[in-house]
Amino acid sequence: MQIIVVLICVSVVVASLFLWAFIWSVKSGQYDDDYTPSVRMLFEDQQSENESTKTK
Amino acid sequence: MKYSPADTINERLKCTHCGDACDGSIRNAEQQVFCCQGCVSVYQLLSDNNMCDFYRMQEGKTTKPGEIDAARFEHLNDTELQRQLIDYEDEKQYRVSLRLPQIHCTACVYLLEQLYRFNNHIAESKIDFVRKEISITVRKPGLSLRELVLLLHELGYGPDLNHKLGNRREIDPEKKKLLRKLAVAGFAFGNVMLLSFPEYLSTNGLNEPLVQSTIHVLNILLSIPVLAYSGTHYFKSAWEGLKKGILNIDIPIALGMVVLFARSLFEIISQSGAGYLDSLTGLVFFLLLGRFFQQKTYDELSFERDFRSFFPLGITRITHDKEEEISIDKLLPGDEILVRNEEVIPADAILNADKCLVDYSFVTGESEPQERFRGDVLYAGGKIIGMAVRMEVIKKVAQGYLTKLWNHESFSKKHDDRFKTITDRIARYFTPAVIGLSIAGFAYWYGQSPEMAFQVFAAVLIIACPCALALSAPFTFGNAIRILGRNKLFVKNSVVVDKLSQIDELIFDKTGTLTSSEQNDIDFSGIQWNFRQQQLVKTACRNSTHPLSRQLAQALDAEVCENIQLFDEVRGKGIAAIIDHQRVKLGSADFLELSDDERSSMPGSLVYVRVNGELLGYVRYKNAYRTGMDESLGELRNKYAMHLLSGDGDQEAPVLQPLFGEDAEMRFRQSPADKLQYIEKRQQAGAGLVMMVGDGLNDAGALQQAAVGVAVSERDGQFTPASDAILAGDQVPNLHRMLAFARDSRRVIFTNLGFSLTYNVVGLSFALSGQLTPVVSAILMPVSSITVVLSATLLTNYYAKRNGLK
Repeated sequence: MQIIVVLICVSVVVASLFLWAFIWSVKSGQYDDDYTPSVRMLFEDQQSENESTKTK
Repeated sequence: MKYSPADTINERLKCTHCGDACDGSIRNAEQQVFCCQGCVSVYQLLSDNNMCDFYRMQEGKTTKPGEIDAARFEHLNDTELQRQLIDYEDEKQYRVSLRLPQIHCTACVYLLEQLYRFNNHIAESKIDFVRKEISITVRKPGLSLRELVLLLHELGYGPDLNHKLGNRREIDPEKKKLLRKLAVAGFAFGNVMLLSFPEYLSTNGLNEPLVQSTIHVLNILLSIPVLAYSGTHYFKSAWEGLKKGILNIDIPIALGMVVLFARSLFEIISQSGAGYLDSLTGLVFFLLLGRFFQQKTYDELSFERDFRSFFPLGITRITHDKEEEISIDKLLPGDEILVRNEEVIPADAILNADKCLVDYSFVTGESEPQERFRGDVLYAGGKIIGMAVRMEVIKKVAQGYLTKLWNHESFSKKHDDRFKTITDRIARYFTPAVIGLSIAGFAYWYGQSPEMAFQVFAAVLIIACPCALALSAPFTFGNAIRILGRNKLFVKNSVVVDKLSQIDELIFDKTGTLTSSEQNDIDFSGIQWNFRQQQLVKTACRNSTHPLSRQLAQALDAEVCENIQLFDEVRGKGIAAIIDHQRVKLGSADFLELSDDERSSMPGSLVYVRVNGELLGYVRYKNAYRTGMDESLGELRNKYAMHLLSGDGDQEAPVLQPLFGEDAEMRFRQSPADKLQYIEKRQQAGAGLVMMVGDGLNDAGALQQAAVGVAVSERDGQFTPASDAILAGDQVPNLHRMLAFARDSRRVIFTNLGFSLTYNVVGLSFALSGQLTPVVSAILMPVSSITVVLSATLLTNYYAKRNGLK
């Protein structure tokens, strides 16, 4: 029965990881524009010699 | 036989780029048809860069490339201006975000996100579709900001630079913060609920002391961030309320939260029970959920624009016959400036040309361009139509006739202070009642058992925590904002819905609000004519300078006869002409000497047409009263005190008076300042909540002064003055439905108040008799919250349907 204490602690830690992941995604701006990415993914990929340089 | 101009256009020939009908005279090397040279060059640009997929994807109309006058953007080379526009800059690159109001479909995203194909200095471009913004990174050296703007213009996406300067908007940090708080509260709520579950299964608590204490400690650890982080808003607001001496709804909430936590801590430490931590975390979670739901924002709209975002950034100044672009802030009285076609006059000035046409539609709502002659004063805000003209500035931009309005105090003071939200009104009675009841309970029990007295005191505060009450308004108004948005009334925030439900007086502007300010849209349904007759009318109109004639000539697609024997125009009445030996007469009913039978009772700008003595009918300019407006006003005048403030003359008064009702106050020839003062006077006379509906810059002061200012906008992305709500032009006749719905939303809140009071009575009977156990609290709280949330959403949807809203 003592093992349940360990299990509870592990489950809370795992859940905390998801909470952290969510907060990180909000902070990094993934919820700022929730429409355009859905449009963007429909375009055919066209190989370009001018691969965009990431600027963040 | 009935002809409409559309029949005469060859339907088969459509411009390859923009889809407009065209005559086929302009073709490119591959024999594709275009309507203008601008479209040819955009198509060429796209096909050169292998981007013709654009046409496959695009929906609706492609934006036509505008005529580009490179000199117009000379001021973008100004370093000071650049600094205002550019977001980020270093030695290697700069990043700029611009608003492109033309973005409307998937193809726009496709095209604009591949800007790097057009110019290899562009490193990356990214669209935010909802905000209609593009963020472009450019490698240096190479493309200057001016060249970038020109490239966008060439593609038909001219950026709205004013918008950028007027409101540099960041993504609302409050919204993100709330999302994080909600996440923490939800996380804690779920875990505490799960961990508390075993506790409720056995009557004596868990038999394993180790497991039990682990769970208790975890529950406390999980609840601390909820109280200290997620719930901070309620403590702050309660404290502010106390400081101001207002008993707001957040006081019992904050009190309830503290008592819940303290009591749970006491129970756990003294090992007398499991505490109410699941109720506490659930409470905060539901409250934040309500706040989150209430936060519907329209990112694509701006409610805060001031006059600066309407005026141009720069203007051409002429010194010693040399043109230079300067920013309008540097404009001084005495400067000579050049204003081109479609440009806005930035400051009051005297015309230095023989004559010009000025479109004041945005300032006064009057759609017909006005003629001005040499030496006339041109007020700022008008748009020049046609030839570029020179003028001499007489006042600085900030001191102009219109801009002076913005110095009025109503633009700087906050209005919300006077207004009490519905929840605050209820809280005024609720809060003292709860505190009184808990003290009474404490006093009653104290004689029997002091320990019990403390328990009852805490239990009353816990159970009476007005969770349901605090949830009802956010969910009702939040849903109402969404429903109104679907019906194209875009409301700034939930307080505005609250105000809308309590409006007492309605004040309307006429032109642009009751009538539509859209030009060149002529209704031909009242006329039957053949092609020949259209030709004659067009010829007559072509020779007139009157704006209505010009519009009619433009709308008719027929060839012009050159054979004119007689042409006579009576200013403000109409035209009489003999063309090709046919008598043509068009103009007002009086001018054509119509009999009473022939006069239609319809109001609005009608022009009757007679050819060879036969009355063909009338053409109606869309700048007439919006269809359904009479019915809507009829509904409204039964419920509200009605007023009309118009900048125009009173010739329409006989038509309007019956629509507004006999006792309605109607004022004509009102200046922007008059309108503002009128509203002030109504407010001082104790008129209650006044709502103003208007459109142009001339209503800006009145919109600001009124409790609710509704700006009418004809097109998406059109400039609207600062306001509390924006209403789409074609929805003005539905205003009575929206207001009725807003009133009903109040009823929803009162229904919910009934629910939450019932729960409170049940809960308090437990609490006062000293029987409130954690399990009762853990059941009652979520159940009452969920009932309120459900009834708020369902009832608002029901009332929306009943009022005929989408």
